[in-house]
Amino acid sequence: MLHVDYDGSDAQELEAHVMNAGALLDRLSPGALLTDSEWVADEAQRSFGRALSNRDIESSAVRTLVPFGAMRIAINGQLPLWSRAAIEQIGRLGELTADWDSYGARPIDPHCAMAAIRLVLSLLGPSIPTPAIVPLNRGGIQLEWHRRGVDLEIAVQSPVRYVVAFEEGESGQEMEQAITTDFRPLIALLARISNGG
Amino acid sequence: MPMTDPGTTPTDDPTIANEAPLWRRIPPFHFVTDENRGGIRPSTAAFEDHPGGTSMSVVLGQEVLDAGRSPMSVLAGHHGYGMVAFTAGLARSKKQGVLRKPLPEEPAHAEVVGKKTGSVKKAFARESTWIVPPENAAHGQIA
Repeated sequence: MLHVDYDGSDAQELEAHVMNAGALLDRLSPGALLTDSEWVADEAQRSFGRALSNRDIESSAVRTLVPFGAMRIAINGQLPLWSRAAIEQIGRLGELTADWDSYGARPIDPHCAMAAIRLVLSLLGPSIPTPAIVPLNRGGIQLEWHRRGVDLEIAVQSPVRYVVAFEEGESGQEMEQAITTDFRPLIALLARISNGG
Repeated sequence: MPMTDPGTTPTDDPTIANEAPLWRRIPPFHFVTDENRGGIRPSTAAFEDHPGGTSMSVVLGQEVLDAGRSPMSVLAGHHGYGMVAFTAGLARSKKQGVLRKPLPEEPAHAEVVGKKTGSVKKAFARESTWIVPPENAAHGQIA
């Protein structure tokens, strides 16, 4: 099973679980994702000719492997159905090589990909539509929603730095905030774009 | 001649009119659906300075046209890309400058100088217009 006990039924329930960045990161660690050394080993396997034959997510009851370029991100257990599209898109960003935007962009940092997957599994749920998964030119990943009169962007700039931009047209409410430790403000913002909101 | 004070780096070129269109390529990874405004637009992520430290690249659209070139010439070798335009005036209204930086491979190259805050990127993303929209990008058609 995933180390995520969130069933997606109630944002308040999630708020009780996610108190800060440490808690967020602890939701899936240790052991939920490959360590750096395991990543290197996986890459080395590929260099010896064991190219990944299947670029799709591989899932069993005990482990899910998400292809990310020459590497794979391992997650304990099966992915919830609602998370699959977003995590597949995050995995595809691993195929971007340097200069993927024609303006000198860097490849996507696998640690940012892991952080984005953690964010998806910890904070999203079945009532929240799949975000647009957008690569950032410095190697980060941005999750975006533009619906219900709300624009919400969460930029994973590094595994410990997230920048949230929120704007609601009707109320004129607007904010931009860097988050490093306290993810609680995100819960309320995500509720604004939720199908159940 | 660029506006400059002795000993300082020029931050804007007043010979580039406010009405001058600035074109920027948009990779397909930066096409996002905006249900609030309808349609597909570039993500704010498409309007960043270079990770190496230089300012955001654009092309002076009118100079491309004056040289008898097509907008598609700016997208040569970039299959699936779109291209948007915004004005130099919009950039200046967001405390940005525009400087000519011709390159051997692109004589109309310029840079948009200034810090790309969330507000700046949002303005470019929302107020730019497609020159080569996503639906045409794969077919090499301009808007």
